[in-house]
This record gives sequence, C-alpha cells and structure tokens, in this order.
Amino acid sequence: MNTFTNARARYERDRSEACIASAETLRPVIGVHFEIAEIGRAALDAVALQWGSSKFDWDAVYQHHRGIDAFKFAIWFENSLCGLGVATTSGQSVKLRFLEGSPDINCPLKGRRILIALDVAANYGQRRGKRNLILEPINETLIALYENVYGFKVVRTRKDPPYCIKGI
Amino acid sequence: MFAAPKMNQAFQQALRSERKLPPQPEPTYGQPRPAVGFFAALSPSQKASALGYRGEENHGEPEFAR
Repeated sequence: MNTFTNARARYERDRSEACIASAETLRPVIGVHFEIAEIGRAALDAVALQWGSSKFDWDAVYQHHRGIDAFKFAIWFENSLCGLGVATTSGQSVKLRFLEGSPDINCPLKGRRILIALDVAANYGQRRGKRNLILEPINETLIALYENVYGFKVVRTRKDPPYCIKGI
Repeated sequence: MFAAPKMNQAFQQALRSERKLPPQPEPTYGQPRPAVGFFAALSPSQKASALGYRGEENHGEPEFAR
C-alpha cells in the first residue's frame, strides 16, 4: 500500500473504533442500545423519510466535508435515525462542526445526542493524537450547557465568532 | 512627521493580536493518545447533568441551514 492509502486506512480505522468505543461506553449509562456509524446513503435518505425536514441541508454538508479527516457520523436506534454530526481535525484539535437531532419528541436519545456526539468526536480526536475538542460554531442559546454541564471554556475575540474549547 | 506610520503600525499590531491563528495543518500520522472519550472525564455532577439533559442540541454552520 502507498502512503496515502495507509493514511486513509488509519483514518477509517480510527473512526470505526471511535464509533464502537463510544457506543459501548454510553449504552449502559444511557440505557438505550443505540448504534453509531459513518453517514451513508441510508442516513441521508432517512433525513427526508423519517425527519421530514431538517435544520441543515445534510446532502450539502456531506458533499462539502469530503476531506480524509472528516468524520460524518449517524446515531441510530434500531431503524430510527436519531442524530447526525460532523467532526473535522486540524493541528491539536478535533472540532465538532455540526450536530442535529431527530425532531421526533419521542426520540429515546433526546438530549443525549450531544453527549454521544462529544464522546465519539473526543474518541476520534484522541486516536488522532488531538489535545482539544472545539465546538464551532456555537449555538449561543446553549452556552450555559457547554460551560456548566460539559466544562467547556467559551473563547470570544473581537474579530472572530466565539467558540468553545476543552482539553481531551 | 512619523505619527502616521506609527499609528498604522499600532493599528496593525492591534488587529494581529485580536485575530485568531489560522488552523494548523493536520498531521497525517498523529501519535495516538489514550482513547477514553469525553464522558469518562466528566465529574460525577457533570455526568448526572449530562444524562438528565433533554433540551436543544443542534448546532452547525449557518451557510448550510435550511
């Protein structure tokens, strides 16, 4: 195998192992036997078929994040799509760029999809040698959640949009 | 006579100091670190709050919003 093929294989392995590890860690504490998998056609189709509408254009998000490091993951419970997320890496950080949960108010993972997304993104970042988990862009209405529940530090500069950071 | 260049220099420094550093390149073969995830590092009270949360979760780049 050439260098690029080796590198791609390691990214794929890191993503796959992160999905398995986070699901195994969180299933017992959440009490729901959910699955985490990379986004494929089934997940993109489920946005329209199961959710009806979504906050983000997931076909466009999927097409845009095609880098070797992009981690596009879906959270499933049985055949129901519970959430979609995207994380990317750079330097010392893994960045959770998107998260959307199913609009179904009876989704068994409502409120816990963000925890699953943070855990699987951190797991992936750690396997890639990253030291920080960043939330960017941030949902301003969730600042208290990010800071008080998850222990992130909010960074605000005059020039750039705010972001949240935490060591992993 | 030298006021304008000095002011310009000070302005440029102020701009630079406020600007976020550009993202560092991704090291293709980063040295793995212990993969403990995120939940394991939370305090007991944070874990309880995280598991009890049922509110809004969505975030993402506005340019992809519907």
